[in-house]
Amino acid sequence: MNWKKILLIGGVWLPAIFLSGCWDGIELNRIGIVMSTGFDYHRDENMYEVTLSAIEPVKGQGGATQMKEWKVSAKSTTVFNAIETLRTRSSNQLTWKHCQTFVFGSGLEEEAFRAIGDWLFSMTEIRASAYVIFTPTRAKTFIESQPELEDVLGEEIYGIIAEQPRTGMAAQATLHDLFISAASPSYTCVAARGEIVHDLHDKPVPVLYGSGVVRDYKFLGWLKPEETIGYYLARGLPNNATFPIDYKGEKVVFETTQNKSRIRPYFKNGQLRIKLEVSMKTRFANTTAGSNKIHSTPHIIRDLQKTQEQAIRRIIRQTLEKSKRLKADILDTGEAVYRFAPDYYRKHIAKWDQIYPQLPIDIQVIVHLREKGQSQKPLSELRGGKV
Amino acid sequence: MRIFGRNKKKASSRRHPAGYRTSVPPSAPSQPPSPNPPASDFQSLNITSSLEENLRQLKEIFKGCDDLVVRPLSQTPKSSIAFFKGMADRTTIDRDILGPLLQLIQSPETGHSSRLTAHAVLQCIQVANTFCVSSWQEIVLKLPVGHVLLLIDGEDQAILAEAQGFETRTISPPEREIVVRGPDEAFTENLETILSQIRRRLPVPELKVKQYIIGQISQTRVCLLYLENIVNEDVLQEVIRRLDKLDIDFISEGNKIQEFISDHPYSPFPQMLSTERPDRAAFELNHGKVVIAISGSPYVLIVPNLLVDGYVTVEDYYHHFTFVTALRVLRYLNVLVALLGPSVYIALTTYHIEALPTALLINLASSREGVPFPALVEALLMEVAIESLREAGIRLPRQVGQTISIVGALIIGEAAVQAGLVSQAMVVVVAITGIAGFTIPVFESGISIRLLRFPMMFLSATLGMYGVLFGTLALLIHLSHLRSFGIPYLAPLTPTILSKWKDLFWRFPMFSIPKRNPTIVERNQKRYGKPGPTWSDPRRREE
Repeated sequence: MNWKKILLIGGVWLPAIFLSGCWDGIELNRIGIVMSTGFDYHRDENMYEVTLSAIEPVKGQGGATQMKEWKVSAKSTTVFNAIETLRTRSSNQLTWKHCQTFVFGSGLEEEAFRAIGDWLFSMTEIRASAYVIFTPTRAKTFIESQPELEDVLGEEIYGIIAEQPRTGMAAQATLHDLFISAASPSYTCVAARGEIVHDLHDKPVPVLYGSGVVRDYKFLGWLKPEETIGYYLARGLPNNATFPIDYKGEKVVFETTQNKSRIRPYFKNGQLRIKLEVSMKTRFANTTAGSNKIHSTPHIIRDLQKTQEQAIRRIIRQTLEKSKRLKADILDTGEAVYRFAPDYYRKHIAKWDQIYPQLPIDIQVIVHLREKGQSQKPLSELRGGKV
Repeated sequence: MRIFGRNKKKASSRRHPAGYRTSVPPSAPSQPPSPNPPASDFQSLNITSSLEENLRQLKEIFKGCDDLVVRPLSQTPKSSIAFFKGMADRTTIDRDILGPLLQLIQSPETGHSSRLTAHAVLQCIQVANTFCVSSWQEIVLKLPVGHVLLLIDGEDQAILAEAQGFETRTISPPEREIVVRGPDEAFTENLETILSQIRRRLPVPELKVKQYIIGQISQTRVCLLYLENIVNEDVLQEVIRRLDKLDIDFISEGNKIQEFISDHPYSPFPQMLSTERPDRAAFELNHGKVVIAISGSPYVLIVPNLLVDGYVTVEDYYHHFTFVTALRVLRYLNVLVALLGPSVYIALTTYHIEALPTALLINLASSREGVPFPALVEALLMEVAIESLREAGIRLPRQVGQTISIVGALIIGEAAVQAGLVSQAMVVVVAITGIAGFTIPVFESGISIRLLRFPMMFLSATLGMYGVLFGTLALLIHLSHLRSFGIPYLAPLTPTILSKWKDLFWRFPMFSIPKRNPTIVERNQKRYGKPGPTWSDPRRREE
């Protein structure tokens, strides 16, 4: 064996020292899978409280999988210590590799939020694709609530939040967005707002309703559900969001089927302006019962499209006005400006939170009413054999 | 010889454990095939004209062989006949040898005996293969395999007549290479039958057969078959050279030859293909390969054998190409599963749980609840159990064997899960791996994959996916290093021959593969004439 072969074999084996090895291996039945983690900060005690929901899969009757949920919280002066306290209380090795939701409770001051964020960023086990939830209650309370449909809270929350881009009731943001919002001067993290409601049996259950806005670990405010729909519409996201319009005294509800949006910065008379182009396809969702004014004749369709465009423009404008009040660039226009005019961006980005509220945004909406339904006339008109 | 890659110099200088070089330089002269008789005293002895002396010599050579029959035939001149009981056919001896000889001795017209000479005997014996020999060497080779010896006083030549009559197996369906559609016959242990089965499929004068006697003790007849106008001349000369150099005592099956003349005998990958199907042998001959048939073995060896040959069946050409393409893709996927299935499972569940979907992780974790062993031990337990069952299924009587292997696998799997020794998931993984291994059509290729599964499991248990990748790369390096009689083992993948890829992981229609594999065949590459799709519609032609 010549020296080249020795070098080659040694070179191939060398990375093995730095990579995973048998010392890193852990058997599946020795792990506790953390599904949700909540963070609270107690200002009076200067303590961090970490709450987690972990599962330990066990074999049920006939070999079926059963999940045993373990909810626990620990307080400490640092997040790391709190986590270590939790580890000492678990019989299995806790792993965050499958933690799907991170809940941030109310009262998280900027410094505390930053400490938690920095700890999360340095943790190698977490997935950046895990969802972020802001809650107006304590994170512990949210995590201690009972899931309605799933066995485990994490599974339920994950399912609900994954559906949000379809309905548009709560924003969907990941840890990745949170980290970018901490690094970028213009990017804002718009995440779901988690609340506790009581069901028919007075059991506290979690719901997602509206959104929370955070930039650089600083909580800026809340968006209502209708404002969240406006946020989604402006981002070209929701495929099944519904919105009502008034048409000749009738309430007509439409549902989006496809949506695209584009942010176009441009200069006019030396002033930076933004043009937001939204193009969407919609369909009838519902009309007021007994209506006989909605027929799919060409001129009515054109009227309906125009009315929808006005309604959507109004929804988006309300959202953008709110975001300007919060000084939160929720559409990430800063990124578009950077692509369009990098020099301008570099020059003004430091005070972007002051520029953004003054930024004129023109909203252009084009709606195509594609699916008009099967029945052209209401069933009530067909009564008595009248066609 | 076309030597691929940079190993040209190394290949010619590498020595095989059996003593010869594994690759011959291009200028190496080919030697004519020669029998390889045992080194004994009688080699130089010739037949004498004295019958007594010849009989004494015969009894001396075959001393202690009680099944040798020697009986006198005539008195004037004295003559004797000798043959081995059970090897020569009694009917042939009585009807076609003794009958005419007695008629010759006792002339019916005159009632007097006529002069018995070697010439007269050759003319009267009614056996096609009758010939005179003058040395004992030939007699020693032929007599024990069913020839009849005739010794005449005063003649310095003996007469040998082929009268083989031992019991042989009739042609039966293949047991190992079963096909859904295609010929349903396999080779037998009889060399003549093997040759006839191949020649029936290739009735052309270009099909050449060279015979060898290999094995000092076994004296096994070995035949080399090739199509003269297609065969790769360099490969043929290399095979001849290696067979000439063979110096072994006993051959009962082709593997012995395989181990002695393979380029890389330590490699688990087969460099010679063995088949029991005459149609496959004929198919490979038509693609420029050389077939080695061994008397007593119902399997013939085919050289050169490339990696991809192990994952192709001759049935691939008996079905529509779309179906074959689907089968081949499935087969190659199964090769990966059979090789890497348990190791990837071990790596994922021990080191990379983040790569598993959460729901799957939860299911796997619950199935492992209560299992006391690490995943590697669990996998080894099940693999060893499955392999043992497979081995037992082969060794046990056929009626019991199948029941044992299937029921045993089910019972052991279920019992092991119930006892908490292994998880259900591991039983599923091992079962899928086992089934995937069975889809590999060539047994030897399947064995190599089964064997390599174990080191891959150890690598994955110690290094995770890095170990799996490391093992896979090491395998690829090893494979790219292999040669089968000078032909790169990974051809046509590397060296890349894109035209051959039409018949590799998938199969294009026959008419789009008009040439033979250029890696092997250098002359007469063309196979087909005008391609089929140019046929016009007869109705349109009339118009």
